[in-house]
Amino acid sequence: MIFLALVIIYFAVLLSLGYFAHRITKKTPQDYFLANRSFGPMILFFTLIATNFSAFTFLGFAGSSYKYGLGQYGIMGFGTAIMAIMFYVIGRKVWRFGKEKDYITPPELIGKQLDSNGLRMLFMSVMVIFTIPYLATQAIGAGILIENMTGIVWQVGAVATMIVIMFYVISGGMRGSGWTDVIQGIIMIVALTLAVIFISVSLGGFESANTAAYAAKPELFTRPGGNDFFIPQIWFSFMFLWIFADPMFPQIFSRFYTAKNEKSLKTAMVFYPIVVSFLFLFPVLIGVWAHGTPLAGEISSGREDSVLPMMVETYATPIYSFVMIGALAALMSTADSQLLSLSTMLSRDIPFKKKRFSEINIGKILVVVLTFFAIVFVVMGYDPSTGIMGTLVKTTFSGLAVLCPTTIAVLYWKKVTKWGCIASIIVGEISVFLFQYNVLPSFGFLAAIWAVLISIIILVIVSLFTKKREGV
Amino acid sequence: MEEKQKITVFGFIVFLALFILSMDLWGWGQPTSADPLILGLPIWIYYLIFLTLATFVFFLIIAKNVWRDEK
Repeated sequence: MIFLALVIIYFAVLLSLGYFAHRITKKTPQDYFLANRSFGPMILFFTLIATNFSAFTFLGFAGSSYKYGLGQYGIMGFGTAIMAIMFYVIGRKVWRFGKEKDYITPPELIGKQLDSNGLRMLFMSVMVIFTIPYLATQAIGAGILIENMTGIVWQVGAVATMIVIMFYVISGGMRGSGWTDVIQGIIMIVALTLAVIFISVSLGGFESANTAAYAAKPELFTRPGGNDFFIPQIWFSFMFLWIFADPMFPQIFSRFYTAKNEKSLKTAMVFYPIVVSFLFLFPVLIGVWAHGTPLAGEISSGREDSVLPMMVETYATPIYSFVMIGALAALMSTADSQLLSLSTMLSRDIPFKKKRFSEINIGKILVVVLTFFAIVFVVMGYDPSTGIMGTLVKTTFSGLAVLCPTTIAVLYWKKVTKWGCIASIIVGEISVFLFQYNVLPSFGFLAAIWAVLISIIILVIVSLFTKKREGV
Repeated sequence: MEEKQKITVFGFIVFLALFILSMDLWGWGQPTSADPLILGLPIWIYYLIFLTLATFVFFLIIAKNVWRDEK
């Protein structure tokens, strides 16, 4: 009952913010899709945090640490913290180009800088194809949460959450998404902090919680960890992966355009590691601590992502509803940004005539269409036994990381050609699947590592052997 | 080498150093029964937290000294 009341208040706040954003948003693509490039340091910081921290952060981290151990903090915490260097390497340049040439989407920048619609479409297609499954995992996260809270089948909760997100994205655009991200980011940070405090107190203190878990499963406190997961190749792969994959999420890339000035981007970069250093530790600890409790016997294989809700329900009962709202905030803030960035790209980058509808209205229609696709993916195509982590790493991260060499080359390298970029992306994506499904040996590394390496080599070779169009 | 280039090279070296330091292969297999736990956690966790905070300091230096705002 408390949970339902909080959900209603929470949804009402989000919808209100969406409505207020709608009222002050002008009917121009720059304003609707990019909030007129007006996000100051605080909004940009929170929107980047809330957008990047997802259902994966709340449920996936705890589930993975329950399975593999504390090493989960290493590959996620430090890997994500150092990734913020890309706010300087990519974000700064993207912001400058966006301001100078009125770019709105990532493929628009890549395609127009090399005067190639084909490259633009390819870049967009990769972003869209690999982001839709990621969008669906946010809905699945909501479903798991609601199932744990109410007993309602997870598919129903997932669909309901997607519909609510759809409404406030349509009304508020980027401004609405940014404002709701601030609220959601704060809720998320407070919820995780309270959860770890309450649970540790219930388990007899921080040290007792660790000691009990260590006594039950000492291998989770070491590396390679449970199931010998954290071999050095995997450790290296994840550290490397986030640097290349995270800025290629269309919802993160698009946010580089929204900065009011470079100071906003700098602030986000500097403070990102601070938040990551503690926020990522909390769900990992909660997942590991579960082994020192009687709950360990109740978590079956394939249901590890339920460990955080179960721990909070049992050992942080007074704040259970609030923490679950925090988890909802994490996944909804990611999903709304994904919906908006995908619809922005599809409405702007596909070269069709837009006589009857404005670009903004097409974007809104696409939000509805994408929501429908995500729902279909959830209901028809997801196998929960692979876990959120498995699904994401197998599809989204590797596929998007391949776009990073092209992006950096377009921003910095004068000799890059459209053929170099197109070949790099196509061969890189094929490589992802060849290494992912062991057609080629990966020697223990993630497929993304080889795919990025190959895409860099192809990019350089093909660019050096092809001519750039004059004037580009 | 120009001053700007020197600073960029320095930044790249520090970034690379942080990345290499995060590959703490010497910490694999710890804690053994002989290794101490601090508040129940192995030392390598504190090492990673320290490294993450060092990244914050590195970014602060980049923001102040390397990243020049567009005029």
